[in-house]
Amino acid sequence: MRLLPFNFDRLTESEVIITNVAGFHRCISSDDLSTLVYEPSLLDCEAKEDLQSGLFLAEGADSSVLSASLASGLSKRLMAEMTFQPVYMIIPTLRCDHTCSYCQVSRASINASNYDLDKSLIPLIMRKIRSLSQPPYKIEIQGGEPLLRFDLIQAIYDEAVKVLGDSFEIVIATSLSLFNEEVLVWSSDKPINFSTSLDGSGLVHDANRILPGTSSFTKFSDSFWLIKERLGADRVSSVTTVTSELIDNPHSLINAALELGLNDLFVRPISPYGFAGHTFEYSISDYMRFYSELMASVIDLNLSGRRLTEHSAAIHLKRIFNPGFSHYADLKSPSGFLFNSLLFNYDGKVYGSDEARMLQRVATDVDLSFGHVETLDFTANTVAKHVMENGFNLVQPGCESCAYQPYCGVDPMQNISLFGEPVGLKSNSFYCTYHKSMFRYLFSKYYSDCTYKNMFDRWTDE
Amino acid sequence: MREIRLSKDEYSEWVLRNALYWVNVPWQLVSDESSWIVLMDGSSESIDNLYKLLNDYKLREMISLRTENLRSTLICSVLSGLQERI
Repeated sequence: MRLLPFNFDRLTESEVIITNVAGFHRCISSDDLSTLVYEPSLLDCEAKEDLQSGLFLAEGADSSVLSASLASGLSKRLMAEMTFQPVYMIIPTLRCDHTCSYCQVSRASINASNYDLDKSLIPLIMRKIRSLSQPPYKIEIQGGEPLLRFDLIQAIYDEAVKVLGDSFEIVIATSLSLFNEEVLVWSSDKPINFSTSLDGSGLVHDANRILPGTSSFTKFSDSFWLIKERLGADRVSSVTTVTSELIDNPHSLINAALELGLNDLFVRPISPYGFAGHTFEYSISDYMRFYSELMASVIDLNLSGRRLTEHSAAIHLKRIFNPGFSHYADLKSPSGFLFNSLLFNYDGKVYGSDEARMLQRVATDVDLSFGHVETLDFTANTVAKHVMENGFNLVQPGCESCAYQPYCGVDPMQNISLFGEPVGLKSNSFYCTYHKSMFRYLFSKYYSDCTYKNMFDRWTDE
Repeated sequence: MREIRLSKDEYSEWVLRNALYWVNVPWQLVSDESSWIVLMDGSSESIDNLYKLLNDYKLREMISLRTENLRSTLICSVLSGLQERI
């Protein structure tokens, strides 16, 4: 019997998850792990067959075939991860009407000057998009608060129709505070969706998302219902950033979701970028306690017939169970920097990711961009090249022996932000601790509770 | 600082340094002819955790030793395959 290379992690005292570079995994007992490593021939026939089918063991003449299969699996994964199919982000303005406590991009004041995109650059941006990749094109309009420059959003759409034809969709990331009848009527017959933030109950939402002189939650809630009723529920989605106001009360988020009639949640911890880096208020252990409680409520709701999907879990599960799922920029290796995102900033500068432009706001002594859209050059910036070269977790210390490496990713910008270089110290890494905790949690639940397993299988298939 | 003495016959430098990578309390590593000497701040929980890590990295070292040639073959095969595609 021949052992093939694999990594492992202990889920409990008695259960271990093993994975290999092709992305296959098995959940086995601790005793079987020792037997597999030291004397695989002593494993029972069923276990041997199962481990051979997962490319963990090879026998006799099969050895070379199984090795080739493992190599093929790794090649397929790498090719899928390195496909250039970015989401194109455009920032019409950095100005914002909110003063959120955890703002990640050091927003500009609503009355500030020189923080808006020059309208004359829009045709060039669209031509660059058309020349860089194949349709269908996905365009995200972010800010700041993009609806402050609804005129630019309209110009972006009109130019997209002219240059890209009908093979694109636009997502507007907005607080919905400025959403109105004009925006609703204009977007009704267009491939335009809205992505917004829901931080919990009205109390929590308003504590985080400060809108001078009024309630952010009331504006959000009114606009949310308007979109659902007039455009359809599938035209608006929400993202929840967990703050210290929410962390002890996951049920307030569930209640808010139920009140809003949501079928989907996308929950994530606060990110250590820019302004947010100064206000990090809880540990990943605290976050996972919150998350476990939240998921217990999600399970109860699903069991009672109320379908609710949590998309952070779904993304992690798809990385495990759906080979080739590699279009989520924040959880892939090589990193999604440039491969999965390209951002046209309000000042005309072009970045390989949203995180890069966030980091640029606080790291002013280094240029993280690919230059101005008029003089775009992907080869000139040695920092960006260095970031991309260091984007493979397969060879990074702490990752190369990690069981979750095939499913996990890297975040070089977060590492630069926290450690001053793109690889970082994994034992002290927010990114590593968070994703490892998520994978452990999901694997543990999947293999110990059939209720969770059934729900996770459904989310993986969606 | 607690002193933990580990036999060089039992733990390779690879095992020890990989285990220490994940230790989140201050530590120092020195050695004499036959032992690694880890000087470590921290509770008995931290020390228990170090021994768990040492045990797991010994297993990983065994997997690595037993699959070394194969891993090299795998990577060569992957790189050749990718080269052909581009």
